[in-house]
Amino acid sequence: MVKQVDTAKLEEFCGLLFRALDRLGGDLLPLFLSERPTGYEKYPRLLLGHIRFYDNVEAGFEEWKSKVLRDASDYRREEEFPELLSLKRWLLDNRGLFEGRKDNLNHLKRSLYARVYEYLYPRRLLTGAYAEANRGNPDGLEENAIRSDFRRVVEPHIDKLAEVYGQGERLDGIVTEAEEFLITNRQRYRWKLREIDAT
Amino acid sequence: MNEFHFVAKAADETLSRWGLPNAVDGQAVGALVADGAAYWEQQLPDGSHLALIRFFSPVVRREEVFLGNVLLNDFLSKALSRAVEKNGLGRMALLANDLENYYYLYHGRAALEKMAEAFREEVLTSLPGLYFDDEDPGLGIYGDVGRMLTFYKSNIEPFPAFAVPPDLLSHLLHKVNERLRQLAEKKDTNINIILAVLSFFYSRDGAEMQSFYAFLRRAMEEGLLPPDAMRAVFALGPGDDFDKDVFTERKKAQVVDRDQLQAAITGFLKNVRQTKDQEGIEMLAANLAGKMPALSLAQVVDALAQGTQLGFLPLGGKREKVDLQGRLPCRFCGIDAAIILEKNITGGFGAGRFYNQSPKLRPFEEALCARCGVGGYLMTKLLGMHIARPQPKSKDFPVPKQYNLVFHYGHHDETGAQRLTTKVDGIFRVMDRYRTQAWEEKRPFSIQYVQEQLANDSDERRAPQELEPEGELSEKEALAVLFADDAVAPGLEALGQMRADVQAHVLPLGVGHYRLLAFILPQLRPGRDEALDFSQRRFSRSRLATFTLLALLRKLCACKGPYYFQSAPTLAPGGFDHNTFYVQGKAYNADEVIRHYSAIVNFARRVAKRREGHSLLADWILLSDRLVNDPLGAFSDVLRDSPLRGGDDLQNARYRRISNEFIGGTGMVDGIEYLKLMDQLKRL
Repeated sequence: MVKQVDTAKLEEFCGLLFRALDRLGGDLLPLFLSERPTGYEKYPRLLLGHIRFYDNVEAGFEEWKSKVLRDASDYRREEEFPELLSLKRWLLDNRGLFEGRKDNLNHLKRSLYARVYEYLYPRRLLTGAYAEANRGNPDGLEENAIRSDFRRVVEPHIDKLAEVYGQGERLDGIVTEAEEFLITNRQRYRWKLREIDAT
Repeated sequence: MNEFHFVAKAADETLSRWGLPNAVDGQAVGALVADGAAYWEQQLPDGSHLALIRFFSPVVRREEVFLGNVLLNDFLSKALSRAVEKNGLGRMALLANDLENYYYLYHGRAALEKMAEAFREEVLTSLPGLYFDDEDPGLGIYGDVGRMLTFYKSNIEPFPAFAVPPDLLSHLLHKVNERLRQLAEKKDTNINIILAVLSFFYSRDGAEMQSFYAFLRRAMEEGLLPPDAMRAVFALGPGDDFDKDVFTERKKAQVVDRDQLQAAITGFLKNVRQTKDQEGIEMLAANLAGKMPALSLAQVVDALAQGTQLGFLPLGGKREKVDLQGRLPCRFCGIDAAIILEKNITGGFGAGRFYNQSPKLRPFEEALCARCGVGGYLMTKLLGMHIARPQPKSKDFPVPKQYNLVFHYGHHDETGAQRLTTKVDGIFRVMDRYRTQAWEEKRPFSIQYVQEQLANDSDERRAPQELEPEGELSEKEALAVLFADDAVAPGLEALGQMRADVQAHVLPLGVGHYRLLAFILPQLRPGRDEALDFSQRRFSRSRLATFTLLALLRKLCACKGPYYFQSAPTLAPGGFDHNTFYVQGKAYNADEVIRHYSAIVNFARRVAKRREGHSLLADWILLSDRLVNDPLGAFSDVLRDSPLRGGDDLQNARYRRISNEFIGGTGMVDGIEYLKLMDQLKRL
């Protein structure tokens, strides 16, 4: 019998997964959009691979978790650990979505790049555009400066995103998350931009 | 029942015209049509009666004969009302029709049997016209025999003479002679066409039919073709031999004296007239006569009446089971006995394949019944024939031209249908002009190219004048508006991909306010390395692609009546709903599918990349279908194989990128369009 892929649940799962990876830092999700597609998909694909291998959500997640924690940012690992726990809880609550459901796992694998792109593009667009606007101005990447100028500097991009998401909670969420991400990773941006300038 | 309001209105108007207002309630007539009533009668005080009569004539749903059956039914339906009025049997008006059912309102005193007799007589009298006359939609006659006489070789039978009864041989040759004269008059006619027509129609046997030289030699020896004029055609001196090598060499080198050729054909036609009187027409065209079916005109009329019904009266006779007389059943309808030879020109590329037991017994023998044979003939008469190869490297065969058929119910009269034909032809001409221009400029042809050219072409005099002004818009503005509309751009692209050598037709079938129109459009051209029907097959199988074509026709028509593609219009509740596309037998809300799918199709069109030797259209159709079937999976593939990052290889990427604008600080092109589509896909 043909089983229906539960797109709404999978969408929810992807949101949680990408958020956790993004907050854990390191290179779990790329800092720059110009990374190859494998850079976007690596860790989500690993999780799906482990779950598929064990056909058990808990075992798969645990193995994946140890790899993720090794590769996560040293500064974020502890602080963002609850994100991983909440992801695990969600997975355990919805284990029927993955265990014995090769169709769901395959569907996720096939569509993963589009899903990560959709999550990452608006956020990195804003952070990248802000960093670019402050190239050669290290003070612009201070926390206070970001908090005061971020929305003003990236306003043209926010307007463009509003064409897709409309004005509202969804867009606000994206802008807030981008701002938070930039504050957390401002040193990486500063370092990267200095490196680009030097070359 | 509201959808049958137009029947009630037509009935009321007809009764008023006849001076019988309120003799019967129009709504009641509408209800009878909705119920599919075959016959209903009401006596009037003067002894006459009013009747609603259904004329039913079956349509075979096989591509090879479907359009021909539709045209045949239009002819039969018009012959019926003509028969009644010519024979003084009363008055008859068509109220509504679909492809198989025609509902007439009748006023008079005649019984159905009398009408059936008159109908039969009328069909018999009009049969030569049906076969050979030029287009006259009022009589239900479409096409032109000249379109069938475009073949340049006759090694395989290129004309469906197999469906023409021998009694019409002289009519056929008369038409052929007319065409020969026209061809000879034109200085740029390919001489092979003239030779092929001569060889096919006037040969004595198969050898002459297949060899121009053999035919010419015999015709010259017998004095049918004036020998001196023919020698002069190929610039032969008095001592030169007219042998096969010289003939082939001169013909290939185009050493042809056109004036002498015209004189030779004129002499030939004169000699034909004399020989016909002396020897008889069967001797003159012995090979052709041998290919005709052993059918009298009356038998053809019987065959056409097969399965038809006037009211409750079956016109083909009451036969519980058709007597096949030891023959195989027809390959297309499976009902009547196969008596017509199956050749490529009657059966298409599929002729001789193992569809039923006939090819196993005797390949290329009788496989079609007379009715299907006539259907195939009428289709070829309308669309013409061509010599084509099904695969790029296969042999070529003479086959009827193929078509896309879209039906539409709407408030259109003959003028409206004519205006639509002009509009469609106008778009074809614009596309053709810009395609040539793009080719000269060595640029790929696309809708974007046409849009650009229309925008650049600021000089009003240089702008194409193909569309009629619409309201306050000039022709150029009307074109620019049409081409700028994203919802119809994919339809325009499909239209631009259609063969330019087949004319588009818009045929009004039936009469009245609410009319059934048939849009007959050419098939799609394949890429250089693709099979003849590759793009067409992909187009026909894709719901999305057909929606785009229907959306374009709807825009041109400016009417929200139902459209049908790979579906037959039926006068039954739910069969002709307003604002509906019927595709592959399913009904779709037209507004909704246009809104829903046009963004996806446009996206696929923009990212699909031209491949050498392949049709771009076939590629974007496939991609748009994949995007609907597996939205995020297909979208992932597009993103993965698009050159979105700085430094990506533009040549080797499988898809084109939508934007070339790089966003500073991201190293990527602007991805807003991708996000927009993704948002749409998630809502599917």
